Amino acid sequence: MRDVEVMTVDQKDYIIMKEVMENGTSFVFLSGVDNPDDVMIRKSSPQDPYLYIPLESEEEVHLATLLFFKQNEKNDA
Amino acid sequence: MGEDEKQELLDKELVEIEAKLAARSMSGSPSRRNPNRKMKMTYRDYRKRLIAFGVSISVATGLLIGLYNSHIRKMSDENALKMIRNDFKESVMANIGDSPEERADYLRSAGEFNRNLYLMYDAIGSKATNDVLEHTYYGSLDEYLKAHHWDNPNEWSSDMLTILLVQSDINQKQSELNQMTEEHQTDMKADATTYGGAK
Repeated sequence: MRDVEVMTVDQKDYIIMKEVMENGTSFVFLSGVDNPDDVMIRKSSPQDPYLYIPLESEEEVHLATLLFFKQNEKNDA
Repeated sequence: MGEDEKQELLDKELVEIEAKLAARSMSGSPSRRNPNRKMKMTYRDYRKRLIAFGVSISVATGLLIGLYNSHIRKMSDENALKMIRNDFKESVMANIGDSPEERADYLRSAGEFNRNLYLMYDAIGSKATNDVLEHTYYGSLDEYLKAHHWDNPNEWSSDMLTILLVQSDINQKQSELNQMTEEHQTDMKADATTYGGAK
């Protein structure tokens, strides 16, 4: 068993599968607790590092998806 | 189901996954994170989710095309190679499993769509996977790349494919392939015995 962090988005709970830091911004990759097919990416707000907001554009989605493959010792299985 | 129908279904699935992930990631309300809020999860469930997420992400980026067009063209060959080897191949393979047992387990449990993506990942590191792909409906790695339009010279260079196919551990992969082949042959013999085919 392992401990995973849970974040609630729009009244639904998600597991943080992975977190990647890029230029001071944290990108988190979320998987629905009740529905593993419900996946999304969020990023930390520049004003509040504990507040996570939607990505702003398709270009940012692309950047985040590339970051998924970046090695991250903290969260990699 | 014919080849065209299979490809059509796969293409449809790719588009749907990409659109779903992008739309979901760009909508909704801000959320406050609490690092102390945890739950327990089995390692197996976590790994399964990570694989599923990796597949979704891979599709959303257009997999290698996304990497190539967005980043690698701007890099030197040395850096591009480093990125593929370190940031892409290794992390993807680590998510899927890095022991022959884990990979075999994944291949057994994965659906056809995921299994083919897995084989694509593995092909990045091993020409030997081409032999495995012969047993899928793609027939070969070339056909797999063609099916995803990664053989288009405008999108993809032969140098890039060469880079992708360069790998240092082909002997290890070949060994794994041999092991899988032996297991497959053993299974076939067992099936033949079970169903009265063996003499």
